[in-house]
Amino acid sequence: MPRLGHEIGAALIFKAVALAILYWAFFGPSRHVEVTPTNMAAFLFGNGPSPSPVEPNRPR
Amino acid sequence: MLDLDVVTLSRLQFALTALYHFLFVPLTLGLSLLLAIMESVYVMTGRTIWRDMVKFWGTLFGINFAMGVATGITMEFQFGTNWAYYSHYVGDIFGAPLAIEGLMAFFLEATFVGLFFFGWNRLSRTGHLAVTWLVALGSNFSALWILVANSWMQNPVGAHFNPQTMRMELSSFTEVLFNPVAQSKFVHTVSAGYVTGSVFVMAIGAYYMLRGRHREIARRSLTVAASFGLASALSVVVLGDESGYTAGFSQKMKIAAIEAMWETEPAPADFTLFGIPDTKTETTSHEVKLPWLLGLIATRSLDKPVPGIKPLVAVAEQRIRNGIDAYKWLAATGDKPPAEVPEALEGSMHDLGYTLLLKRIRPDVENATEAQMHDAALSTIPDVPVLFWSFRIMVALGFYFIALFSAAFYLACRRRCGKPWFLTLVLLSLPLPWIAAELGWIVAEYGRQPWIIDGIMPTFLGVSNVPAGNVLFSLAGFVLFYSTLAVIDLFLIVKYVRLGPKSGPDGKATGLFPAPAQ
Repeated sequence: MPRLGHEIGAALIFKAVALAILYWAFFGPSRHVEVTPTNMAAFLFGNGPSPSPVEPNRPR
Repeated sequence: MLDLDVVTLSRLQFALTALYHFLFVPLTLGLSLLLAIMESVYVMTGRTIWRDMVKFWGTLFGINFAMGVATGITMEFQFGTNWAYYSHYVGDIFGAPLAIEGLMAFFLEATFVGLFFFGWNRLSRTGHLAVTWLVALGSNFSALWILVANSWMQNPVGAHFNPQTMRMELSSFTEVLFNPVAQSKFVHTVSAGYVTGSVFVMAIGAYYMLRGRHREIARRSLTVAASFGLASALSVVVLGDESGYTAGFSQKMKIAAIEAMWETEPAPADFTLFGIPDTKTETTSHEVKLPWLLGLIATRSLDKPVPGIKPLVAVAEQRIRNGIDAYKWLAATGDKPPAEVPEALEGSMHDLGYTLLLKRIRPDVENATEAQMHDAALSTIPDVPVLFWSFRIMVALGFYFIALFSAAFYLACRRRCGKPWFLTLVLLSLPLPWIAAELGWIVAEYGRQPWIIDGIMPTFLGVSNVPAGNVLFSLAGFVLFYSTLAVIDLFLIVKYVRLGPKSGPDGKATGLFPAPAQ
């Protein structure tokens, strides 16, 4: 196999390992937020604490 | 409590992963088609120099493809974890084109990429040529489905709200697929990829010519890239204009912000070539205008005004007010949502997304004061200076590429593209297509704010309430990961450009390609 094939192969292995680590550490099934129609409704239309306010784009 | 830091961090993380991903994509799009063109010339003429060109540029394509493949998957990681409410709310529509991209386009491209590299000695000339065209087709198909998904975020057609499932659901796949925004955006974006590939090939060809190396390959590469690049650059500008027109009816605030147009521009609307927008005073000073041009771009007419930011804020305020009835009804249904929206509330439902802007100000939006509604309406203004300058730099680069390719095409036709000043200019132009492409995405995505789905869902309501620390660490992880890939990509491309094309009867492999059969 040409040398570049080895280089790309090594890079692909790095990529696969890095993606797997990132997924396991931050995005695995245990980290998924379960959203159901009920909690979606509560989130959008309930009276839970409001998100932090944002400064509007208007002159001071 | 939804922490603002989580919103900002989640947005930043997605923006960075998307921008990093789009460092690799345009070159794949452009080079794949250039390879197909060069190999077509080889098959038609039988001249082996064209085969050597395909193998050389194919090596660079392979490096970029290998580094870029699956860099988009990190965005899909984020949909499930960081954007869970978004994924639930619009996944029925948004998920379909993404799934089709993965199952159809990507697998098509990935399968035939393997045949492209390893099929030279196993396939006939026309067979291998077909493979190369299928690789190009696959990469363009991938772009199509991703842009169909993104275009739905800009102009959400073909969908309706289902109160039982608390989400938007697909009404018409045809409307989603043939979304006018998708059509112009697709051609504009792939054309930008073709420009990127063309500048890349021209710049490396210029490098070889300046060094006095591989002149025959360099000259032919320059000629092909100049021709293809000129057509692509013209396509980018024309379809960019078309994107402006579709945004003129689907995203009026985006157009107004891009123009830093605080008041309505009376017909025939002028285009602001240059100015200094001031968000505090809501004015733009030192304006240099081109007469009538904005009217033609945004309305295709000379007798229609183009609405400004302030009037659009007033429209948004009215829509916020109008959506409150629908909000109250949905809040009152509690655990027993009805199957469908009452006819009397359909108009109000249309403006529900605007009412949801109030959630950032108070949770019980039905009790919002007039001042709070006005504040929520003001939040529909995106970042005017960023959009104003991003758009203008992108457009300036677009016209620069037309000039560059025109000059290259003219000089190539006259067999005079060996002038050192011109070759140096081409070489120095290498990073510019990437800058233009990234600015284009900033205009598209930052210009859509505060919406994640225009007029339907504000961005802050799409974010999952995960710990901000998690997002910060994953963001750091992504930056490290993508930076490493970019460095490896750059290192390998520079290395194999310096090595140059290898050819001849000695049977030595060229880059990624196996030696010819004995």
